[in-house]
Amino acid sequence: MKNTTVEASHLGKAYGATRVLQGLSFSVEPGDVVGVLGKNGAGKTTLLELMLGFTLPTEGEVRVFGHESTRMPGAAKARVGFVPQQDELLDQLNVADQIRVIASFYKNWDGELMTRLCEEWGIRASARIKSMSVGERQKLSILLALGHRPDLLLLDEPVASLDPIARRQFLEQLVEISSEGQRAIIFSSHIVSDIERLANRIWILKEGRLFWQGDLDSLKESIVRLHLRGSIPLPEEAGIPGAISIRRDASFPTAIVRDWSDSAQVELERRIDGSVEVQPLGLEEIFVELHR
Amino acid sequence: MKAVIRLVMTYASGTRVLRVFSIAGAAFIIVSFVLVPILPPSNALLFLVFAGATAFFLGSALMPVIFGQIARGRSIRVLPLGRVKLLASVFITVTIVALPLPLLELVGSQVVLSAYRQDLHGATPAHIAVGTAALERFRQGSIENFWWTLTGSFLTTVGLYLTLWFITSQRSIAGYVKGLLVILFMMYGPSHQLREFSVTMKGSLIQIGTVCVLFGAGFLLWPRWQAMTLRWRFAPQAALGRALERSVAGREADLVLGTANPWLLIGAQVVPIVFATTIGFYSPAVWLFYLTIFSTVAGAIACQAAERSRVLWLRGGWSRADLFVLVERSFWRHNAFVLGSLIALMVGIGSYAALPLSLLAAGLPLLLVSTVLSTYLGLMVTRGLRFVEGSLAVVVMLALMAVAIIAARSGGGQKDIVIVVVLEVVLAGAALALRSAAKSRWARIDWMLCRPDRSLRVRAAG
Repeated sequence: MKNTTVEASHLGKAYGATRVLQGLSFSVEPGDVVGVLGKNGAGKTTLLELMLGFTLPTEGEVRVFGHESTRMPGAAKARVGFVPQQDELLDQLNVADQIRVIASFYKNWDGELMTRLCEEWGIRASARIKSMSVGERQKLSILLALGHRPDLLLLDEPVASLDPIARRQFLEQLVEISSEGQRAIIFSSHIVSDIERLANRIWILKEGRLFWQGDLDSLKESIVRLHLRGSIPLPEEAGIPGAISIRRDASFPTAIVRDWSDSAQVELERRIDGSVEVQPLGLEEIFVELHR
Repeated sequence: MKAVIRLVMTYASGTRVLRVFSIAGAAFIIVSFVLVPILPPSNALLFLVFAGATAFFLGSALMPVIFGQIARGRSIRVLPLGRVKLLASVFITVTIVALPLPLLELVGSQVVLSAYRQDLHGATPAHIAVGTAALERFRQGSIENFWWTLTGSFLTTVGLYLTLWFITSQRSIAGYVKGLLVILFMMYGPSHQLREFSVTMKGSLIQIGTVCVLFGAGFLLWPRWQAMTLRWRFAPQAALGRALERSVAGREADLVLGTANPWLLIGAQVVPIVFATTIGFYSPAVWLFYLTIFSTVAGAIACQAAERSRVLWLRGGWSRADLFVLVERSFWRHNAFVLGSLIALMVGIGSYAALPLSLLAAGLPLLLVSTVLSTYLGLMVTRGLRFVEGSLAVVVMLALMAVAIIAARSGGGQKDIVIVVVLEVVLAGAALALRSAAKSRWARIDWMLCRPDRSLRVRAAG
């Protein structure tokens, strides 16, 4: 029997008349590292919150380890790690006390892992949290989510406050964690290069819908830029199959298309009486073009 | 259980000072229970356990703040049985504070009872019969006394923690309003309870159980309730926002400083006091005491003035000195309304309850001095509430309460009134000193360290 970590069907969330998410169906298997991309306000945080059961979906459902996310029992929660966008550390404590408080909730807390990570990340156990910098707080927040070696790790913009060195350390750590056992990781980020480097699956949220879900290679194969060089001008109603956007501001028009095929290329070359050059795109370019 | 114990320990050891209080409190409680079977029952023992419970309460004063932070966070919902364990830790902390005093009384009574029973050995049957009946009545009385004390102690402790929670976590007028409402409940609930002296075990358990169940159910169901009512809350909130906007438009600086609308605070002070008059608090000491405490709320609002006025300094053309003058004026416009309402209340209550004229004569300047002192103490807070400001706040509060009690007990005697007037003059002098200190601090204010965004302030300090 397949052991799905997260499974959603027709998931949607609305606040009053505003529909933040709609019609999302997906599944996350053990070993998946999912990068969630989307503009500000695309619904990334809401999606993670729905998976964690923080808020009720207005349509569909999401199940985590087979349980409805809003009714996850303690045993299921013990398998989940979460790093919020803004840390929720207790200013009054020092690092050691903060770790003890969180550790006390788990039976399988790995104290040795914590000690090692604190050393590697340069976090002093005696440091008072209120005197730590934003980046240090974020590092500690991430460490606290790793201590019980969760089977599902959800990270909401985890690297936003980290410097490049800390970001690299974090990504290496995440790679190490994801390679251990059957762990699934879902993280949202604006830093496309991080997602490109780490994720083996990409979700792109656009206007509340899951515009794309799949592996990075398929995405790059699927979405390409066309350079149209022909003697017949492209009509207003271009009729390019799978066109996401068309730009006419350069000497020759360009188009971003999805699921481009050889037969479509032959047909388009015939229509413009010229050639169509297909240019593959990087993830960042795809993301930008999708939101242009 | 491990998590619950860890949380309780965290509440009681937030800072070094608080740790000292908690350890001392726990030690006092333990020592008093050790001494009960050895020493004869006395007020000294009761005082020891009371001091222990009070010290532990002070030591765990951060509990509402830490509890509030964890409860409002999202991480708690991912922790296994997080909210249940958090709730249990709160009840255990409250119990540690509330239980020792009634329990010591009960244990003390049992020790006395046992000693009397020993005395009955060898007595005549008639004496034994009379003595046994008397001891049984004593035993019943001590048990009733236990439940009576436990109820008052428990409800008072819950009320004090709740007040601390509202005031320290929200740091807004809404927070003070909620805190004052809890004080109102405490005035009505436990005080009423103590005066009635009619509680039974069943009644006590019902009251304690109701509070626990209401709080527990509310806390555990809160996230679900919030999610369910999200859509309902948009419309009334927007309407309220529009209404408030109408009432505060036109004074942007006041709006930024939170002094544009004094009526909410006035309402928050008037309503509890009017309610309290209905339950018959006619003691001059009580009135002066409460009104003096209420007048210090101005300081709690003023302590956010520096953080809030940062945005004014960045956008306006004021120097730091000009800004202090602007802020001071804004607060005095606000305070004038609030102080006016308190003075009107005092005169009204004085007429209604036929309080001595000397009390009014001594009380009115005390309210004024109290408002001035607390406002300038609040304005001194330009880098967050630190040890100096915290200590000054404690000293000022104690001084004001002491003068309020002396004034209330003066009984109209010429000599006593002179003492009160002299003390008020001294406090007025202290207020001028605090104003000078606040002005000097504002002239050197470091906007990198004085900002509402906690994380940015931390980074600046680092």
